[in-house]
Amino acid sequence: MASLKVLRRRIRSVTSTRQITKAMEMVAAAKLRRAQARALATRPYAIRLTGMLESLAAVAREQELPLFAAREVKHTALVVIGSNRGLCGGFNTNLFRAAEERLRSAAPGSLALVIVGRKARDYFRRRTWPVLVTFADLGDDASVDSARRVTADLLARFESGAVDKVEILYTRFHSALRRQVTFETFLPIGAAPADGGPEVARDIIFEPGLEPIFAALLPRFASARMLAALADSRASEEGARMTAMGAANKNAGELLDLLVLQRNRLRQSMITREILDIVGGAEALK
Amino acid sequence: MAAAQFDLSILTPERAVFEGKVEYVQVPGSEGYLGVLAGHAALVTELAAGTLTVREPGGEDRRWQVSGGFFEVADDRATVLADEVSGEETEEQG
Repeated sequence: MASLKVLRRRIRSVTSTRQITKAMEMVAAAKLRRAQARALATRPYAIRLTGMLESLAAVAREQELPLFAAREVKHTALVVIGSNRGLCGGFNTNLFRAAEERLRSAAPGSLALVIVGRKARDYFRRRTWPVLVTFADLGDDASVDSARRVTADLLARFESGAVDKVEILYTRFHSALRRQVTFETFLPIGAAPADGGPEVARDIIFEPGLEPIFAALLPRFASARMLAALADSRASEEGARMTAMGAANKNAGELLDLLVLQRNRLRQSMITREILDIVGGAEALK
Repeated sequence: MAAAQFDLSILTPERAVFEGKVEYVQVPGSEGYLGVLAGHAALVTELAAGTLTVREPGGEDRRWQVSGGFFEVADDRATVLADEVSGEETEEQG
């Protein structure tokens, strides 16, 4: 059995660990609320933009717009959106597992990575998968600037023909307790509604014209989707961290109860032994 | 005399800046400033950088700076999809 001194030291250490996990849980809860609000605030714009795109898509489909056109896929880029910081339970682990699965399923040389987040960078640095570009300095909040930077890079690769398809892998946010690793095709934008979609026959005035509007619309649409993915990922991360820290907090509490019980027993038995010694000594003096 | 009203939303990728009834809106279209009253024909235009002016019913004009984006009118609903909006007024979003 451990000595009293060792037990006391462990109790002290577990107590301070519990304080830290408790604090981290509360911080994560606060950050989750903020990240969630940000994710929600991006929706109205994205919804309107999508509506606009769809109502124009039918017209534009007749024209050859590169961002729309699916072409023969020789090279695919896989964007993996991880977190910047750790201590968020299985958040990154689940993501990387899905990424590995996708990477292994692809023909060698046909799939390369675009990495977002410091933890994703650290993970893939130790592995041999080809990496096109790494964004590890995007800051802690999902911002429009970050989304534009990543999107601009992807669009350039797509338009130059270096990649024929871009897929994104991120953690979709459902609620504080529910999130899901999600896989989506990012480029080509495609999936324009079939004939008979929203009517475009009504007379719409286009200024300066349909084509330039479309050309300006598509990158913004891509960027809005990227922002949504980044914002979702951030909210999911804080949700995962909150859950992980809550569990750590609970475990620390249970461990502490056990250690305190052991310490009390040990102390009790030592006191009993001392009393027996004294009583024994007194008896002997008689 | 109350002018006819229509719905206007000013949205950026990050948040909704304005949402409500207006009498008049003037936007910096890529082909020049254009003003819109209720009952305007369906229109989609690109925006240039410039000043966005909104007249609320019975109220003062409110102004924002936009850096570009789109402006859409359809069925008495106008939407500004701006890349960025700044100005003296920033409405807090819950």
